Amino acid sequence: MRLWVGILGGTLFSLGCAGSQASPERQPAIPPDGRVVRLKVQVLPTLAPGGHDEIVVGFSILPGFHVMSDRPSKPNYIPTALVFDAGNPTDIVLDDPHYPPPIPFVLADETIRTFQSEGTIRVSLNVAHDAVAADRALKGMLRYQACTERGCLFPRSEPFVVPIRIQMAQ
Amino acid sequence: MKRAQAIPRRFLICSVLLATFGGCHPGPAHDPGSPSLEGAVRPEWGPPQAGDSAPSFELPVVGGGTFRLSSLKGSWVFLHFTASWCPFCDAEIAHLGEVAKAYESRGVKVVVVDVKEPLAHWAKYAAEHVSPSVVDLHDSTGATAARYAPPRMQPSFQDRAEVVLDSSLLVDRQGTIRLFVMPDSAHFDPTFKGVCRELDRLLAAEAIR
Repeated sequence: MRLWVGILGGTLFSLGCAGSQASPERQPAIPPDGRVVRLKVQVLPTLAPGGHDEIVVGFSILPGFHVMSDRPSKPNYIPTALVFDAGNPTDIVLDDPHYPPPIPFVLADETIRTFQSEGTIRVSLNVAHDAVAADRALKGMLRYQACTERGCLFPRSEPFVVPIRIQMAQ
Repeated sequence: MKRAQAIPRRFLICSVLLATFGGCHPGPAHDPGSPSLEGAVRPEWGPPQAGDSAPSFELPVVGGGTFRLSSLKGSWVFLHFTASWCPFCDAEIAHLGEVAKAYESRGVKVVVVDVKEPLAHWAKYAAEHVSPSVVDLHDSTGATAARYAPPRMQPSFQDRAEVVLDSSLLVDRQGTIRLFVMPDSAHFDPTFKGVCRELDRLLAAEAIR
């Protein structure tokens, strides 16, 4: 019995060591589409003129990566920012986004504020009282700058669209 | 009693044999005879790496003028790729100036290359953070940085300039790369102690010759 335990232990030890050898991907791999953050926009109910609701944008960050938070530790770091296109319909007014709390990441003697794994960004939305009933599409993007435990990637952005249907109140 | 002693010995023998022949050995060294630094570029990733000629380049100097790597033949070059927004790079940038001052009298030039960010943005940051002892260059397209990316390293990184961001190289007086290392937060060394140790060793070996 102990012989088998010895063989198993030695094998696992060897495999562990083999895994620590150089691999071409010394950082987590980037998928072919280059995206390390995925977004999921919650579907909004139909809104009436004068109505309000909340845009909920969920994000998931690939394992092994983190992104700077919306309020990074230093001004030269690039904050994660949910931004809407300037050309979006003007009868839908958006408040400033609310981001999740940051997660600390320790780098030498510095602790930086990051987002990791998953989170949700919320934006309050108000429909103007004189808004015309129609389908709209609010376009925007999530700007972020990702790093791993071994280095950083260039800043990227992930586009998204929020479909909005405005109907006259019954 | 005797059997009870024999089993642990077998356990020990199996473990040692498997560990020895089962793959627990270091990867190829970046430069035979030199200490292996964490993050050193591996031969199987392809050129450039230690032993290869440093790819030549010509880049604008921040503040005016043009710099050619070939102009420093006869000097040692500590070449570092950086960006102001990169936390790893930011933790290191002030220490590049310290290295430049410490090694200036020994014929070492420290050269920093900012990769793919707007010049005005970098210049503002550099004015505050990059020592005047450091040669400050701007690689607006990332083309120079990409030439330093070993082709089989991080093959999933389509923008090859991204691969070498925050890497450091030591280039000798003949233009040959003697050390090429990448960062790693588990062994993060923002003061470049490991690179300087290697530089000391290389300069000492040169003095003996």
